[in-house]
Amino acid sequence: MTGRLEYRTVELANTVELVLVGLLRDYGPAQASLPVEPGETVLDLIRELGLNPDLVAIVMVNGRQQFKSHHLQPGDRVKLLPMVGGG
Amino acid sequence: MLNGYGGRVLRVNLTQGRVEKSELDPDLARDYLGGRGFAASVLYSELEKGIDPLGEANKLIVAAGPISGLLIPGAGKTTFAAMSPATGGYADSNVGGLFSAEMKYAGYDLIIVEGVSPEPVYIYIDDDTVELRDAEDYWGKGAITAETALKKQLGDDFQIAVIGPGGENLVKFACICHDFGRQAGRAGVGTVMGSKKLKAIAIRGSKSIPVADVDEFRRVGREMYDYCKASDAWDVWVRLGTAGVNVPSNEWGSFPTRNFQSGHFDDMDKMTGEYMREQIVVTDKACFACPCACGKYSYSKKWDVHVEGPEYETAAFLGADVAIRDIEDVAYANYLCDELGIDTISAGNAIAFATECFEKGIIGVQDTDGLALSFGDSEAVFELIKRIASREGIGDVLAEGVRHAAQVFGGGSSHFAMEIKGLEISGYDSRNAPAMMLAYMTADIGAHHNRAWAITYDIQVGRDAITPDKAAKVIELQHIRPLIDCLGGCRLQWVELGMPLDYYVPAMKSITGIDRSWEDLMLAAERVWNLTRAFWVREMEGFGREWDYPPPRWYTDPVQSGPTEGKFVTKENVDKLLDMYYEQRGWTENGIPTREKLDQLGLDFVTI
Repeated sequence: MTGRLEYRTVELANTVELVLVGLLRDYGPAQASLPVEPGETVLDLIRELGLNPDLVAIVMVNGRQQFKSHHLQPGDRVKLLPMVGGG
Repeated sequence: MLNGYGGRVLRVNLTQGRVEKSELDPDLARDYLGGRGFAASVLYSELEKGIDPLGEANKLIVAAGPISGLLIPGAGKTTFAAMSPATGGYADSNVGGLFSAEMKYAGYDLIIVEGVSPEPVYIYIDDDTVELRDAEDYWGKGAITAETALKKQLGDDFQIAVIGPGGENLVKFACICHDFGRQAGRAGVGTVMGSKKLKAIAIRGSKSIPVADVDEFRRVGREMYDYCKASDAWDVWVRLGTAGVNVPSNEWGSFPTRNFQSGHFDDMDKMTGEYMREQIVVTDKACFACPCACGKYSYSKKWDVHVEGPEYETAAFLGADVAIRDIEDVAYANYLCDELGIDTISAGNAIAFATECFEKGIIGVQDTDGLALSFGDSEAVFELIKRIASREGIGDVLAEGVRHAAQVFGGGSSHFAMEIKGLEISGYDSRNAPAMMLAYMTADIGAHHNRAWAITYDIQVGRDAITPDKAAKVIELQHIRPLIDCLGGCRLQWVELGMPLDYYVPAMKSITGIDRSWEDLMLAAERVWNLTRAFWVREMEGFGREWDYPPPRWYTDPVQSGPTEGKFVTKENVDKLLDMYYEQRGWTENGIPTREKLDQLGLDFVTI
């Protein structure tokens, strides 16, 4: 039992929670838990999803806007928004 | 009783000191809906050809729409319109806030201001009471200072539209300011107000707006609010406002930088919406009836000023385009423009243009009263803003806009005077976004983004493509967005939160009692678009394709850096875009609406 519990803990610790907004849902599930490698950036994650990075306008990680070069940490909550309008 | 409308038109003649009220014409409401539709109709039918935009014959239009003052998300926009002193063509500019709601509560859908007052005045409106009042105590004061003082004198429940010294001094890109830092900013509607010696309009109303089916209106309205609040984009939009676009625009290579020499700014760390939120934003601010408070009210400790913003466009033009890299410096420049009552987009463009001219040796310290200009010099930007508003020295040249400044400076500078039809381009470098470029080229007040924000379409379908679908998308957007302007609404609930446009059909039916399809509403928007085009045709001798060309930089100079480095749209492709656009619009090869198209839209009174 102890071993199994440790295994599950490791699995959860290496994922990020992802939310796709609007038309980005054409490219993946609205919400998902995805594995993340050490050193992986938001841009890497976007490419793994098969998304054109330019289609992702705003990147939010744990409620704060980040650049796509931002390094992800296990347990991060990532929200990706499509192009939105200025002005 | 016309459901959904205040029901009356208020006409104020400042020369004669005369006030008239009349019933709103139901045909006007049917054919033009409200907002910019009303403005276009009145300006086309009432202005004589060839008038002086700063003279007695120009009229300042203030218009609400059928949803203004009602609980529909985003129903907080007010349209201000006139013949533009910046371009000589049609101009309208809208501002968010609470003004149009108060107009409706006072029973007015339209305010038409005519003539020129001999002395500075403001218009006082309290329901049926309308007076011209002496504005001597307010003339010369900053827009926010004057608004604060008027509210103190009249009461907080009055809504104020006011100009600053920029408008008084007839700076060609002066704003009409409202709600402490929001502006109807473009194409000089504030200049027209200044030319009329009209410092402010103060309005308060206490009437009800008739609604045809109250239960259905409540049901639809609640659904619209529920949709907005449940949107996954809601919290992001409220956190960042339009400044959230600073980063993606820069990543797309569309963030105007150093007078559009590039579309990519090299130092964004202190320019992001997030940095702004954490460093200077004090609170969120919403317009009337809006569930997503995108306004960011900020305090800069460095400069000890409060300011609403900076919005995306201001970050572009008082930030990257003049190479300021600290949002606090942008905030201070923003504050100066707001208080002085000048448009941050055109002001930033003018300063960036002058700076490039200085760095290229086209102008020198002999032209600037000793002020050295260089990109990234915040103090020089602050100084130029003040000189523009007071029309001092080089500021007097820049206050006329970059087209005029290029004529004065010479040296080939018109190549990089970033304007179309005389209006400075707003915040998207479009050399790798042909649909966006076409949107700027054909926008009906000059180069402004809000008629069709088509860069998103370029990104979706391929940025290099020059294809008929791009022209079709621009046309579609040029009807959708102006339709929302006609209704008195804000486009951001649709664009940012994904609220379906379908809601407007049952909403309008419940409000007006008239069952109109989406296609029918869009037809009204197309009617307005063709009418504003006809306004340009009437006013500009030989109007046509030449007027739609972008500045040579956009079809000649490759982008200097960033993800779009090396890109530009060739002149041949500029013409291809226009060919496709004119054909799909049913216009001639020279961009003139045909008789057939005009008649199809019920514009038989328009002579071409």
